[in-house]
Amino acid sequence: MKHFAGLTIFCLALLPLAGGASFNPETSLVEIEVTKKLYDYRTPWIIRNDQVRKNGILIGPHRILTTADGLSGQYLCRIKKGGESRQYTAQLVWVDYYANVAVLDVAEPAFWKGMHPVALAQTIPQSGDLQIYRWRAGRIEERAAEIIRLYSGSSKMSYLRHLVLTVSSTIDSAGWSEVVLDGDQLVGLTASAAKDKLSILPAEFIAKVIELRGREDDAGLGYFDFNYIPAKNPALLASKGLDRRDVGVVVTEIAAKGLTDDGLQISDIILEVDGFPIDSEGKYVDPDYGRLAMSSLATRAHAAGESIPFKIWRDGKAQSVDYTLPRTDFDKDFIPEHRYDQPPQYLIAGGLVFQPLNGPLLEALGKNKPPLIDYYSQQKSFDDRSGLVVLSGVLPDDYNIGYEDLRYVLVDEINGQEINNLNDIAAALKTPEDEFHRIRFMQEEGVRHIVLDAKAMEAVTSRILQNYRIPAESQL
Amino acid sequence: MRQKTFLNLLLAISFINVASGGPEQSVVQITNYTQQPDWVEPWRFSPVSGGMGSGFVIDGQRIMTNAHVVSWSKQLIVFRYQDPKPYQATVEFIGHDCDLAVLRVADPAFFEGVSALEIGDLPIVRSMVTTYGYPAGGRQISYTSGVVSRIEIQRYVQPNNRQLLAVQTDAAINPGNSGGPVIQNGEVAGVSFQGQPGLENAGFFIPPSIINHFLKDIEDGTYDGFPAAGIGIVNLTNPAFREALGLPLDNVGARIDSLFHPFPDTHELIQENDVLLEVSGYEVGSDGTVIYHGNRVHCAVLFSEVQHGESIPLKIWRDGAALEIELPLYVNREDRTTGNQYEPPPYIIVGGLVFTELSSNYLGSLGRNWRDKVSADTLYELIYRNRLSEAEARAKPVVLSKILKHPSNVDFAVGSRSILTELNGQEISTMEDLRAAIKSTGGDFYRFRFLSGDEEALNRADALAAEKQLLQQYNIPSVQRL
Repeated sequence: MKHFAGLTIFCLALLPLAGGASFNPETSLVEIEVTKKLYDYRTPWIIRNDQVRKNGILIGPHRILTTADGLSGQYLCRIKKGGESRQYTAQLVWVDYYANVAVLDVAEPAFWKGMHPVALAQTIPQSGDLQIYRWRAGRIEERAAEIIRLYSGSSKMSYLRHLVLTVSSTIDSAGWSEVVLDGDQLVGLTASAAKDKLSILPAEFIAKVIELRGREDDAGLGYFDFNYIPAKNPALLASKGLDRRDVGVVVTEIAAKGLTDDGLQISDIILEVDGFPIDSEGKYVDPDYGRLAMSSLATRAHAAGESIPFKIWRDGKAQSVDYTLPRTDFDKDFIPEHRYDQPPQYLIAGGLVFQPLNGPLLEALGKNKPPLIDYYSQQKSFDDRSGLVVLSGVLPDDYNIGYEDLRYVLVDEINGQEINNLNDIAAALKTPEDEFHRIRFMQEEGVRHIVLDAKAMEAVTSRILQNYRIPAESQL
Repeated sequence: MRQKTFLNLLLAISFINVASGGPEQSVVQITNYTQQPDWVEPWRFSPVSGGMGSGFVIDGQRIMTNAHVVSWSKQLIVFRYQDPKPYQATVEFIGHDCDLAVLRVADPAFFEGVSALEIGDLPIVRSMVTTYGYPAGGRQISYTSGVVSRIEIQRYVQPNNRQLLAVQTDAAINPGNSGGPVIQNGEVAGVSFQGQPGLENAGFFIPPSIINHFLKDIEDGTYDGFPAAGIGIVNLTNPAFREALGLPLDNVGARIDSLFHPFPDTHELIQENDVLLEVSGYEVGSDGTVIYHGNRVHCAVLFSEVQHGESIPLKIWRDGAALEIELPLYVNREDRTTGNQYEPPPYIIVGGLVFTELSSNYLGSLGRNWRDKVSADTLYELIYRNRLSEAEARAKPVVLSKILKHPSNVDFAVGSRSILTELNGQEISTMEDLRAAIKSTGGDFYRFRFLSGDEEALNRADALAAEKQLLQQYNIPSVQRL
């Protein structure tokens, strides 16, 4: 019950930010035009221009809420209100890409005239109809949405887990922060859409992100850095000496995201988290929302750094352990899944193009990525390395003749030095062996060794950059 | 007695007269009724299907054809030229790696009036050849002719993980031609065997060197196959790499980039970054090719001229000096799971959990989108892990191919297509490991761990009871086949 109380207190902290007048989309909803840089990871020196149109909603003075999706690489945001053609330049006050939440502001006082913020719903409705609003061609478009279900899901922008509400609506091309309301309260923002099914980022989670951001201790969002398998099979529990049925999950992996190996061990059976009994599918009964997967407890009821009591079964007996909820740190990923607001990294040496292995590069490669790259990209670690670098291709030149066909090959060593990132390459190329650069690829690759002339490399690199019209030899 | 000999001689002469009608007299049509195994449920076999191909008579009252014409055979029928009588044949030797087979026909009448075709020489490019065979299943022999387009190393589709010399021709080679002779000057210049999708007017035939290697190999009564050196040869055209190795820029010598397993002699005699200057006295170009009967062909052609266990003379460049090496070559049988296999797969059923060997055939049987169905880890186990050191290689990974649902396993949370790595704490690298681990299990549970890190368990007594029921329920002949 303590936890129930905890949740209630937390909800009370989210008192309405605006009065109880009925919702008027014309005075709360805005259209945001984002102009941004777009990167091509297959040719990382190329920068394209792109524009995205999405929705925002006023949640307080100088606070326009939207999702973070589509803001990466932005350098100009303009906002239209009331369907008028006038555009107001907006500033990005803050953005949390991983949580998919952003707040913008417009400095011009004229913008705020006649505008009214909406209140964030304190709880997420679980049945009934909702309304979706957006601006289209200067007019408000209103659609009905029917609640499908609430579940513990992943953020669209990271591995963060939080509650996700799915609704059904016949709105087209949605998922761009259209606002979802229950009466006059903001239930959430659309995060994605597939056919008639929309995923909603709930206001409750948004409020949590805003609250943590405002806290002095800068706690941040937490994540349960362990994986488990359901213990539905009674033989699995019995094999560990636990004579019960339909309880608990078995830990199969810890610290997959490199955050913490605190508290738990592989093979532990998790029986309770935070006082809630965990069933054999990894679910608990939430006092507000009923049965949910335990993963969302990390963001719903706690902040990073807090200690959460776990009851586990280990060595044939029940034990209590405290799990210190680690703060998400996406830079700790062995192969980073996302990169926001940063241009792709590359380094060109003698026509050889090196790039770090990361999510955007893999996405650019699509389905036909080499199986070995696919394998390494799913590893949680390798040889205590901090990352991996691929030779993504060769810009053909007399200097690199014989190596033209090398593409997406994983680099192991250069001049005897282990390669974790592009800085390692830059450093290794400063110490040639007998006037040669010796590059060694991973042992499983079809070609393992190549050699380049060290003396000529610098001049050749300039020549190649000029020939292929590449502005800079590196972007680190 | 003397009279009898004379009669025999007369008979023989008359045979020669009959045979002198042309090579078609020696070309046979083959019908093969087959049954292939299911790689996911390995006790099951497909419905019977029939296939047709061609063959030809060689010395010793034998028929030569392609291995793929007679694979998975349950019943093999051969027909002589313009003779409606079916004769039953059996496979005497089959070489899947070179796609060749030799058949026997029990009835000696089959060979009456039929003379053996002689194996000739490698034809030269642009010379004319004629194919003989029974394409598309017709009962009349069909001839096509064309020029020898080129002679190169090609991937043989039958094993799928072997490359040997093949001759390309623009003479039409269609399904059914397989196993038939390609004739030049009355002699066999090759055996028709495959086409290539996307390449028009191009068929391929197996050249005499491969045929003769196969025939010599089987002389001792067993077929060993084509040996390999276990080396990865790559080009050495980059001037800096040549300079680093102390070699002149003369386009001679290809680099040995990597050494494979299991080739212990190769690991002892060869080093990475050795340069191949000569193979069997042929000078190797910087792109790895040699001049072979007037054609520029990859030097691998010379390695396939050697028999299993024999040595090949190599001239190697190492540490700035040339040295001569006699390298013994062996047939690699450890890579069978990465190619097409022609033995029914092994399996073991534990409480309804069906385990089999991870193989290309297994993955191929998952359908066109198989890559979406298996994890990158699984593919790595099959393709890449054996390129690491022998200690790190997992010999023949065991995969959970199917769960035959039963009340005792219905909640088993690990799904099919997972790789098993441990049973009751014992490491599992092969089907034999699994068999041994099951046999030595004494406790109440089978505790499984998979490559993903997932663990699961079955109650041993329940599993044994389930096996009995499931075998009966699904008509499974045996709980295991190794």
